[in-house]
Amino acid sequence: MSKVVSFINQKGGVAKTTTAINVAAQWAAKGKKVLLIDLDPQSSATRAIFGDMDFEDTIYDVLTSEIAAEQAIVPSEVFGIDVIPSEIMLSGIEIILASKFGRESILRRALAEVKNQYDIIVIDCSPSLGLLTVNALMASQDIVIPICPEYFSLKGIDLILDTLKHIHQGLGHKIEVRGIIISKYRNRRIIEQVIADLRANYPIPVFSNYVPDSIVVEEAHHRHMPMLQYSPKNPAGMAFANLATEMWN
Amino acid sequence: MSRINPLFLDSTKPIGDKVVTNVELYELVMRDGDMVYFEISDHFGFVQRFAMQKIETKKSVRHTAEVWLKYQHKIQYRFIIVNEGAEVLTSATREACAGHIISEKWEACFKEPSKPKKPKREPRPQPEVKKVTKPIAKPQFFDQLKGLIEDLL
Repeated sequence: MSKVVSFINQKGGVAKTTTAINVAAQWAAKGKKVLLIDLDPQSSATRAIFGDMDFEDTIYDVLTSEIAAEQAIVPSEVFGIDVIPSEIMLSGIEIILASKFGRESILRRALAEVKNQYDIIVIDCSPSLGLLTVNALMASQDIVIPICPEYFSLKGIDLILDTLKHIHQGLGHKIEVRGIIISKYRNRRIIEQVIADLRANYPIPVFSNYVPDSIVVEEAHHRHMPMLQYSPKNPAGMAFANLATEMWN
Repeated sequence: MSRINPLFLDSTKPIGDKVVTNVELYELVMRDGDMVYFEISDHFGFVQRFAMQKIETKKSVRHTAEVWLKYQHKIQYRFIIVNEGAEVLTSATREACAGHIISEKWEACFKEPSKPKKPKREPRPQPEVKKVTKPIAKPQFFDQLKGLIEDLL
């Protein structure tokens, strides 16, 4: 039985996609069968993995019930994972889904057919708390919250926890917060202070492997490679490897 | 206007549809002979009590009950600890819209003893103020009529 884990934060630029694709690649390198779903209309994960390739079948077609999830799966040899790509059309899908019966569980139903083929399904969410993200949460048992250690990110965590509470209460689905991932880490006193506040004020574990801020991560995106291939010895590359191990255990 | 976010409403459950609501109460420590009940009243004032079961795991102790409620209908509820037929402790009464779950930490409600109220002073008689009403505008009727007759002549 596979696990479904969402990388979620309604704040943009917190390295959701970077963390999701690199951790997924690390799991795949350890022999796990991984499916990554790009649920962000900006298609950042799709672009980071496949470059400027266009896809006929995407997650948009799956959510509108045009095709089965299996038909939209594209393998990535470089990352060693299967991907359901995204497209910009996804930005208007909430209007289409809003009037549908069972609109909040469309993704969960779609994934039921392919779930057993994978050890883990990773969902890269869009930076919002709309119907797309609710679908991701309803399909997931666990979530992880990547954050940049800064004041506004802490405020955003409250909003996510509130959303989880509403989903539990209104939709009857309980989601476990596996932990907070510290991304773009810099060794500064104020950042240490923010992390200390985070640990003190929230009942959520913080993963002990922080991902440092590094230009090499950006270079890896440009080459459409995971850090484990592009620069495995780089501190960020090593952090992703350790984080993947910590998350799996 | 409703303050319920439609994003978190189950579209497969019309409002008023019966749903099983799981009631969970955490961090309750009970003495010997204590029983905990979940008491609920609907908008007609109909009150029901449900005994809660203790579920103990390695990490936590919680008390649970399963209650059939009408989805999104307003309810009032409280938790009561009863010993030898008498209410020993109660939580504060809360209002909620019935959903799939009610999950709370135990918090006893201690009512402050009511202080004797001071008798209210009678209001002092106010001196009568004569109201002089002024018309918003002076009536122009005669001026208009005069102008009209002058025009006719």
